[in-house]
Amino acid sequence: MAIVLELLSRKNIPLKHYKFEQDYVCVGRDFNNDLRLDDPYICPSHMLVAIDPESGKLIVNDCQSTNGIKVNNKFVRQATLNSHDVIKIGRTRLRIIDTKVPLVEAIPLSELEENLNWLNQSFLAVFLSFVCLSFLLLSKYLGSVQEFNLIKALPSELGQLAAFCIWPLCFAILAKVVKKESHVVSQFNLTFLVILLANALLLIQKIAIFNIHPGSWFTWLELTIFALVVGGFIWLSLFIAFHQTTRRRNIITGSMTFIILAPIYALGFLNSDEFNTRPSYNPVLLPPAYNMTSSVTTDKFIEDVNDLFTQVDKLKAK
Amino acid sequence: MRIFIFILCLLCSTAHSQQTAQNLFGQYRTALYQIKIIELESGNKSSIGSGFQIDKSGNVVTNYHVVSEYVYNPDKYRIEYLAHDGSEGHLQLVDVDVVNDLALVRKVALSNQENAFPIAESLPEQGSAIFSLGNPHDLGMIVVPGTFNGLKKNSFYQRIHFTGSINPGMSGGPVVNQLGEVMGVNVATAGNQIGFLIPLAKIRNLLKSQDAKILENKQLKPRIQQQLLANQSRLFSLLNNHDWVTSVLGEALIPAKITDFISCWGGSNTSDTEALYLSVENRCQLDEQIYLHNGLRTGGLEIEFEWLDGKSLGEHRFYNFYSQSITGAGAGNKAAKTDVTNYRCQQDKVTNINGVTNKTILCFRAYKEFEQLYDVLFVGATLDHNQQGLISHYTLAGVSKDSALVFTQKFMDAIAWQ
Repeated sequence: MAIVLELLSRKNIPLKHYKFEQDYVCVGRDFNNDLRLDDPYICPSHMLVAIDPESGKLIVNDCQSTNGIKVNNKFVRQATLNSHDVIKIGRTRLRIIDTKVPLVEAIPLSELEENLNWLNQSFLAVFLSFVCLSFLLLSKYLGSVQEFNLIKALPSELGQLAAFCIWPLCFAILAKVVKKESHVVSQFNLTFLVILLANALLLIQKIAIFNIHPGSWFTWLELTIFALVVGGFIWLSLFIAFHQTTRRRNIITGSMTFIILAPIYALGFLNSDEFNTRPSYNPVLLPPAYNMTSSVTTDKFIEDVNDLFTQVDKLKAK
Repeated sequence: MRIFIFILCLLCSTAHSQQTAQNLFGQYRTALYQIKIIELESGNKSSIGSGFQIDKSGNVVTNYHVVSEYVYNPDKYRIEYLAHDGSEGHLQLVDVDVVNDLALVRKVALSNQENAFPIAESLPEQGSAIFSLGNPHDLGMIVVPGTFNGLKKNSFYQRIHFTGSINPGMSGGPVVNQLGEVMGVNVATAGNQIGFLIPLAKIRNLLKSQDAKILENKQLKPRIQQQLLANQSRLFSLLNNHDWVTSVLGEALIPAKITDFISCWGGSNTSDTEALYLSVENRCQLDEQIYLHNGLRTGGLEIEFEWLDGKSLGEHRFYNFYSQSITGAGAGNKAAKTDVTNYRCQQDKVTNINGVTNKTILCFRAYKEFEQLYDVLFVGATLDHNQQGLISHYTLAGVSKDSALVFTQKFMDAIAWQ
């Protein structure tokens, strides 16, 4: 049977692992040791890890060291070890691994991850950033009634694009800190795609409102779709950035979506019927080409209006 | 000799005018009062106006807006008068006429030397000298000589046009002819020697309540509501029961000046050479509104049209701008949270009898204290052209459901393409 020791960082992240095909391992600063640790707080011959021939369990013995041994944060002179116990000698941490305990199954490779590989293409990122920039410039142009000057409009739209880039950059940096790959290109592409999707949805919303003049149910639909887009975006950003279990990712997504949406929803509902001398109505007007539904006659409109009187009379009581 | 006589006559007439003013003041000052609204909490006056006694039983006429604070909060205020000799006393509210801004109050304690202004039989001739009396800015009673210039032209809420200065605090004071008979009540000023008076007929109307009992607090609001309802039904029967003359704006025919008593103004951006669109506006409104209290006016009517032509904008840019142009329409009258509810709107695409398709937004809000009265806000924008559009907009204040609906239908069906 072999003894396996793992050298840990301060935060218990494995740095190196050692496997010894023998029944005992001497640990210390001396070059004669089986495991030599270059730590000034460790004695030349500090401790002995051995397999007890009777029970077959691992034991640790202090070789009269100056600073002693801590097993799971308790000073010991001699102790029986279990798998995954952490031994601290000097300033160095070692973990005992029992090779007999089976490891968890491998996480199956996600098909989604394979399918998202196309996102990781630089030329796509360049292309999408141009599409986004053109879209921003186009909406600025359509919103202007003065002579449009591209050069003057460019800085502010570039600034807006840069602001959008904060999100993918944050995720890329976090990913880089936690593991080695940042997937920065994928993050950028994802963000650009979400921006374009959101704007397409806004256009559909305008057309729908203009054509069908929906009631309050539409607000709920809008809120739900908005929540789905935000949630989906966060989920995918997390998926690209970190290796986590689906459950953990779902929880993080749920809570982040909640944190982002709760204030927006709360403000909307709290202010919903604050007294205002201006009525709230939807002013969207679209060119005849978008006009898809039929219109009503004046008589019908006047007939429908009757209901408004009941509505405002009810408000009086409040 | 002739010249001498002429000069003598001139002297006489100026002397006569001075004489009249002096006489008038001397003769009637005991029937002139400063009206003070006392706030009970602080025990001090919160607003002032003038008033005049019209009979020996202590009835005093003043403006409704002078006593409006009391009308709205009878528990927090009381009405007092201050006579020429410095004596003070309580007044009780007998009647109000909110539409004509008049109020009748009565002295609680009478002395044995009550004096009163006589009421004129008819209005004098245009150009006659008349005298406005009152207490401007709490400076003491004064006489302002001026000229009677007839009833204000084309107005729904009738006023006498008085050339002479009326200042804050003189509200509710009488305006008398040379014989000292009341023929108007000070009410408003338009600056520079232009004053407005409530005409004689309205005062006579109020005097019908001369012998009425004191109005109890709970009778005040129903009385006002009844007057507002009657007024709006008079206004809208005038508006709704005749054919509207349409005028041309851009490519559209619009019902702008629908009656003589609304005044209209126009404008356009043609002088702005850099503008990429053409905007032509037409606005009409009633000159006066009814004052209910400091934060609430009603009885108004405004109609606005704007013709927009995108010329070189392109349809998407034009429609973006067009949408912005109908954004944020607001009420035409001043009103606070305690007076009215929020607006509720109905929106739809409507094609009228002339085949004009409009995006139509119609909003109502109700008066919290007056049953059956609503404020109306209408916004319409035509959808028939790629780069042109007509915005139609009106607000009505203090109207009944029926008046509002009849007016709205008539308005919507009056718009046509040329």
